[in-house]
Amino acid sequence: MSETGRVVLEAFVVAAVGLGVGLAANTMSPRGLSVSRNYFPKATEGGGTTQPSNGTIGVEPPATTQGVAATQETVVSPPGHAAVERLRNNGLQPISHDEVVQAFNDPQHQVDAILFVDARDDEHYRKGHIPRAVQLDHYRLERYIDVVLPLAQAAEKVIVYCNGGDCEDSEFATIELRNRGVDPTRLFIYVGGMKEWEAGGLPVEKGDRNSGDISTGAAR
Amino acid sequence: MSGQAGLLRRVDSTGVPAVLARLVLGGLFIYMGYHKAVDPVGFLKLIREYQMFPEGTHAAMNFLAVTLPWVEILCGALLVAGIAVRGTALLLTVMLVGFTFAVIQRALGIYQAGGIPFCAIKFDCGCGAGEVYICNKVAENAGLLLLSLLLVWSRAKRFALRPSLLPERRAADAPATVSAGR
Repeated sequence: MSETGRVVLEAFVVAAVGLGVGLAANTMSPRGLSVSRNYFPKATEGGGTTQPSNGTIGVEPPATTQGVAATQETVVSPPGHAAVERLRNNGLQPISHDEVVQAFNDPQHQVDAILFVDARDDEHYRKGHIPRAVQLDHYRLERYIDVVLPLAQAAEKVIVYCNGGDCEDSEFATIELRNRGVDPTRLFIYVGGMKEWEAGGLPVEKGDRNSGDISTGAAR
Repeated sequence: MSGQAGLLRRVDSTGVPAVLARLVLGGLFIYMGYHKAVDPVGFLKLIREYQMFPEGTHAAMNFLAVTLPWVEILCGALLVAGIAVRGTALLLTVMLVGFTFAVIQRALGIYQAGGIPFCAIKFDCGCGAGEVYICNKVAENAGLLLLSLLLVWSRAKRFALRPSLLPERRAADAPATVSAGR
């Protein structure tokens, strides 16, 4: 075998071993992914696919809406408008900050007839979530769906959120709930997400659901 | 020219340039691979932003997300230890060319969509170092590419545990050529 052939063969062997190590590590890791699962499901059958955002482009995004009392009108800044359009094009229902605050203050929220669903991972959820929100990490669905699904199916209104802005995890979590039989007319996506909630100086619960560790952030 | 080539070979034979290249390249790939391996979901989301995988190929995208970080870590470890050096370097060369092409393609897409100066474009390229300015990233990759090409070319075996996986064929083992009468 020529020297070039040997080097190429060596590269293939290293690649093969690397792929094997990767698959083994993924199988053993609690953070492992399912190779076969579609983590970015389509929002509508035969409709537009969810296109990823392009991430930041070296320019700081404009500030999200400042917190206001529920009775005042909110002004959605341009990034919010783009997200709202994307949701509507994908057959999903956006919900405004005012409506979210109203739902939070509704007595129905206390009996889970209005259910908040936090679509973020453990770290972000535990750092702070909307009080009484249940967690549904879309990428670790099997850990949460058995608890969340019955609650969502029984609720009159389900409001799903993530960080807000370009975050799409709330959309994927919503699609998963819809695909599992939750009435789509009861599913809403809080476009502003946790960033807008916190910017409004609204209560934030830390740790587990109903931990009681609630703080009210200062409006920014 | 042959004098220059001879000089390069003599420098290479000291083993020092190759060791330095192995440590820099290997260490960097271990670092970058580790940061991706500990957050496979984050890495998967970043791969998706490149929009390289058409509808229905999510399994290929997932496969890349779970295996690529470990390939990087393995390559980095092999280089640091001095095992299968040239083959590993060849693999890294191919990967670096692919990464750089993908990053430039994405940056061009952002540039054409937004009219932002090319070198002002910044995003998390999924390289394990967070958000980077595209021009800096391309320059960095060019440097890494040079190091990997050096290692593919180098014959240095010093300070290496097993520079070649396959046993090398010595001249004495080459079969003698016999002309047979017909």
